[in-house]
Amino acid sequence: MTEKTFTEAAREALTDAMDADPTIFVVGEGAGERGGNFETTLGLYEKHGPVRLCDTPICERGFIGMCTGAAMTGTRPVVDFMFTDFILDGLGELINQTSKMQYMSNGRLKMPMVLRGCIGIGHSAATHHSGSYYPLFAHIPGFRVALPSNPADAKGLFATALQSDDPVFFMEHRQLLSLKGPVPDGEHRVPFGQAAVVREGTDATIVALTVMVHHALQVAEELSGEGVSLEVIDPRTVAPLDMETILESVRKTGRLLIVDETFMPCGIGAEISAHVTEHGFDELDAPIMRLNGAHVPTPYSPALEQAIVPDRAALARAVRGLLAE
Amino acid sequence: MQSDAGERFELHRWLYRTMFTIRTVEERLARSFMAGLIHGACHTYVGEEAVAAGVCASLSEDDAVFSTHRGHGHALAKGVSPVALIAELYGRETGVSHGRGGSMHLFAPEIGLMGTSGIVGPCILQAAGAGYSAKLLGNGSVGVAFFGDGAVGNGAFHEGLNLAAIYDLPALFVCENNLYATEVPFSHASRNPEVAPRAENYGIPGVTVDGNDVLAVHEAASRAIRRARDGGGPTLIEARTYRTRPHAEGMGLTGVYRTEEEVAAWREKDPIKMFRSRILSDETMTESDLDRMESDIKSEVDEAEQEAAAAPWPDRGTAARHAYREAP
Amino acid sequence: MPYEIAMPRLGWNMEEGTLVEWLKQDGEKVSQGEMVCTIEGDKAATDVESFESGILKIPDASPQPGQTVPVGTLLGYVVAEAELETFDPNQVPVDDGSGERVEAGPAQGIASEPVVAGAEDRTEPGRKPTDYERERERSRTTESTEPAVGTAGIATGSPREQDAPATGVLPEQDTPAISPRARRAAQSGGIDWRSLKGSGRSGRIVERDVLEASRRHESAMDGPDGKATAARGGQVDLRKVIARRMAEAHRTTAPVTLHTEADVTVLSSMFEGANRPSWYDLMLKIAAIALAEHPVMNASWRDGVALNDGIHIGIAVDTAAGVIAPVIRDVPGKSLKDISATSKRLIQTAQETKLTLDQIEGGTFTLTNLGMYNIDTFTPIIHSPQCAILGLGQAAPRVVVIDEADGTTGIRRIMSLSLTFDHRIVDGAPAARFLQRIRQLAEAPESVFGKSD
Repeated sequence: MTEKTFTEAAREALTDAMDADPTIFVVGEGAGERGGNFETTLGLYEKHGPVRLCDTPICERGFIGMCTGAAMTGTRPVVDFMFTDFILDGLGELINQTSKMQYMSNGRLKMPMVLRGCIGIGHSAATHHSGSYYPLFAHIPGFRVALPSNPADAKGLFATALQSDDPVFFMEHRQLLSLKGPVPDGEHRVPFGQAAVVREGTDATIVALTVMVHHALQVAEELSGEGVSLEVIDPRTVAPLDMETILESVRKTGRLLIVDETFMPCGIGAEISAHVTEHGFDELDAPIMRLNGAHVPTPYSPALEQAIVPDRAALARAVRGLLAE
Repeated sequence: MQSDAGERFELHRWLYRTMFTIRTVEERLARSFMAGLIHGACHTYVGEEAVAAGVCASLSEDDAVFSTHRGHGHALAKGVSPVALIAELYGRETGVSHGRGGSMHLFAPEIGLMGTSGIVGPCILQAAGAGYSAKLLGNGSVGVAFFGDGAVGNGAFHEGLNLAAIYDLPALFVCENNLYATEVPFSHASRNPEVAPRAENYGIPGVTVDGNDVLAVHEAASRAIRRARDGGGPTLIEARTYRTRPHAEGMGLTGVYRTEEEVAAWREKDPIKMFRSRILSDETMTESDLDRMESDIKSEVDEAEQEAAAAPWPDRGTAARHAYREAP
Repeated sequence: MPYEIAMPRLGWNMEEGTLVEWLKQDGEKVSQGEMVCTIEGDKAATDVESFESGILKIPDASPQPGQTVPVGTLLGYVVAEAELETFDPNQVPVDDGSGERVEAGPAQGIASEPVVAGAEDRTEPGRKPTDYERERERSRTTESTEPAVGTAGIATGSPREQDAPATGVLPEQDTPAISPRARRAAQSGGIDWRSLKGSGRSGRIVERDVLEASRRHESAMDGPDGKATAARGGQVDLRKVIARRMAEAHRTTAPVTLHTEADVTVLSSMFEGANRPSWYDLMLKIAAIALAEHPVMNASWRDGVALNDGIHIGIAVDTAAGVIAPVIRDVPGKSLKDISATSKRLIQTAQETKLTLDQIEGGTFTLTNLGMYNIDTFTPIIHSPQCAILGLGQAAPRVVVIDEADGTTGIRRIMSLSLTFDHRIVDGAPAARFLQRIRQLAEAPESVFGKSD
C-alpha cells in the first residue's frame, strides 16, 4: 500500500496497462504532451510518443467515432474527455454505434474502449463543466459504467476497464481527484458489479455514489454517537449494478436511502428502488428514500451551486427522516 | 509473375463477376421485397455497382470497410456470399449478421466488412479509426468508408476527414455521389456542387471519377490505397454515379425529385453495360464468356435465394445475447 | 415457373393496396422492367414492374380494378412464351416451400394445406397463396411460447405477481398501515398486527412494533424470571403460537414419558356435592407436594438447569382458540378451596379468551388432562422451558388384584398418569421416583387432604 491521490492511482493503472498492452492509446484534448488537463496522462507522452498519446482537435463526435472504428480493428482506445459534459457531442456515435457493434455483429466484434472524464458539481464550474449523466449511459445496453469513490478503487476499476472488451465509462468526480488514500501496489483490479460495503450497520442502508460515499460515511459516524447504526454501500459500478449486495443489506436493515448527486428522475436511485421493491418488498420496513441534487442545470454562483447539491446536513436529515418512517 | 494481359484478364473477370453478382442479387432482393420476404427496409445498389467493385478490387480481408444503409454492394464486393446476404434480409440464422441486422446492419468482420449502418456519417469516422489502428499496429491495412452525397453536409464528414488528415491515417473516403440524399437533390443540400475539391480544406488529395466506369474507379482507388499503405495518408474520392432504382424498395422510381428522362439517360450509362462493351473491345473476354458467366451467376443467386428461404429462423432464446462481451 | 405479380408492400406499414389499373392486358407481351399495373398503397399510386419477360396472364380470381386487397394478393402471372401452352392461370401448382410441388385445384381450397393453415382469412377460396402469404405463415409457425428474454433480466415482474390475488384488498378505515417487513414479521410470529399501535410515521406499524409485541408474548410464555411486561394489545393468534412452541419444545427438549397407574378410588370418593373439586384441583395439590420434595422436577432449562423458587402450576385448558395453560400461583400456599376457586375462575377466563399475560406466564410445572375423553395414557409435550408435564388419564373402574396371596380381586377406580420430563434436566430414575411419589399421594389422599377436608 502506498498513499496516493485519486488521479495518481488511476494514472498508475493506465501507466501499467500501457506498458503491458501496446494496443492501448489515449486520445483527448491535451492528453498528449501536456499530460492531460487533470494530469491524467502526465509523463506518458515522453514514454510512448504522439501516436499513443494523441492530442485531438475539439471534435468529440469525431474522435469518439474514430475510436469506435479503432476499437473494432484491434486497438484499445482510451478517450479522455476532461469533462463528461463534452461526451454529449458524441452521443449519437456512442449510443447508435459504439454500444451496438458487439450485438449487431452477433458477438464477433469487440468494443474495448474506455471513456473517461470528470463529473460532478463544485468549483463553480457552471453547467457545461459539472454534468454527471451516468444514468444515461447505464440505461443503454452494451455500456459499463464505473464510478470510483477512492484512490484504491480508481486504480482497481481503471485497471479492469483497460482489460474490458465492452465500452466502459470511467467517471471521476472532480471533488475526489486530489483525495489521498492507500492504494495497493502492483496489480490491483476491482471487478465490475461488486459493490463495497464501506461501513456495516443495522438500522438503515445508505447507497451512496461517488463523492456521496464520503458524505454518507461522515454522517454515519456522526449519528453513531446517537446510537444509530448505518450501513453504507458504494456500488462502485452502476452498469453492472450489484443489486444482490444492496438487497442483502436491506434484508438486514429494512430501510434504504439512496444518495446521488445527480438528477433524481429516471436515475440510479429509481433503478435501485424499483429493483428492491420488486425483489425485496417484504424486507422493507419503510418507504425507500432518495436524496438527489436538484433537477436543474448547474448554476455558477457558489451560493446557488451549494444549494442544489446534497450536503452532509441534508443527508443527516434524510437519514433521520428515514428512521422516523 | 503473370503477364500484364493475364492480370488484366483476372481483374476484368473479377470486376465483371462482382458487378453482375451485385446486380443479380439486388434485383432478386427487389422481387423478394415485393413478395414480402424481406421484413424491413431494402435499399438496393442497382446502377452503382462499379464503385464497390472498383474500390474493393484493391482491398484484402485485412482492410476494414465501413458502409452505409445502401451497403449490399459493398458487402458482396468485400466477399460476403449472396446466400449470407439474402438470408440476413430474410431474417434467418444463416444471415451475415445472424438475423440481428437486416439490410442496414451487415457485419462480417472476419473478412473486413466492419458493418453497414443505418445512420449517415459514422462510417467516415470509423474508417479513420481503422486507419488509426493500422497506424498504431503498423500492419499495413487501410480503413475505407463508403458514403453518399448525403453525408457530405454532415459533421462526421468534416471531423473524419480532418482527423484522418492530421494523423496521416491510412484511410480512403469514397463518396458515392448519386445526386440525391433519399429524394433531396445535392444541389439543394450544398451550394458547392463538387465534393472532391473539399479535400483541399483538409490538406489531402481529392479525386473525382466517373462512378459508372469501373476501371476509372479502380484506377483512382488503387492509387489512393497504395498511397495510404505507404504512409501517405488519406484520400477522398468522389465517384459520380446514379441509382436507377428507387431510394428504397416500395418507393417511387421518380417521384417529385427526378424525371423519367433522367433515369433513362443514366440507364444508358449503366456501369455493367459499359464495362461489357469495354471488355469486348479490349478483347479480355468474349461475348460467350460473359454470357456463360452471367448465366452461372444467375443460377448461383437463384440457389442462394432458395437456400436462404429454407434457412432456419434464429433461436428466440438468443435474442438477448451479445449485448456485452462478458456476461453482465 | 411463371413469375407471380402480387400486391406489393410499398411501405413498412402497408397491409393492403388498391389495384388501380392494368397497364398491360391479359395475353399481352411484357418485357423485363416494364410496368404492368398501377396500384395504390398508403401514400401514392405506383407502377408495378415485371422482373421477367413474357406474357401477362390474369387469373379469373384476380381483383378487379378499384378493388382493395391485402398485400400479397395474387394479381397475375408473367409466363414465358415456351410455358404458355401448358399454363392455366386458374390452375397453378402451388410451391409450398417444402420443395415438393403440391397440386391444389381451385375446388379444393387451400385451407387443407398445412403450410397455409390459418391463411384462409387472407385468401379467397380457390386462390393460391402468394409467396408473401406463405412467408407470413411460415414465420408465424416458428413462433414458440418460450420467452425470448426471460433469463436475460429484461422481463420484469417477479413470479409473485402471478400468485397475487386478482382483487386487491382495500384497507379498512380502521386498519393501521404496516410496513411489508412488519407484516411479514407479524405473520411469522403469529401476531395480530391490527391491534398494534405503530411507532412509524403517521402511526405506521414497523418491524420494531411487531418485535416488541412478540417479545411481550414470548416472555409471557417463559419462566418466572422471563421479562414479563403487561400486555398492551398484541393479541396473538393462539394456534400459531401453539404450533411454534410445541414444535420448538419437541425439537429442543429431550422428552421421555413414563406411565403408571394410581388407585384413586378413595380420592375420587373423598369429595361430594356441588363444590366438589376437580381432578385438576386434587392433582394440583398432590403435585405441589411432590414437587416440593423433588425440586429438580420444578426446574426450568435456561442454558442449564435453573431451579425455581416458587411452585406455580399451569393447567392445560381446551378453548375454542386452542389449548392454553393458565397458571395457579404458589400452589403449596393455597388451600384446596382456594385452588379450586382459582382454577375455576382461570378456566372460565381462558374459555372466554380473556386471560391476561400474568395469568399465563411464569409456570414451573404443568398438568394436562384428557381423562374426560376416556384417554388412559398419552405422551404430553413439555411446556418448555419447564422440566415436566403430568398427564391425567381417565379414572375408570377396573378389576384389579387386591391381594395376590389369597387371590382377592376387586373393582377399583384406576387413573393412568403420564409424566413427560426433559431428560436434559433430570434422569429417568429421579423422574420415576417423582411419579411414584405422586402415585403414593394419590392413593393415600388422607395424608394430603385430611379425612374431613
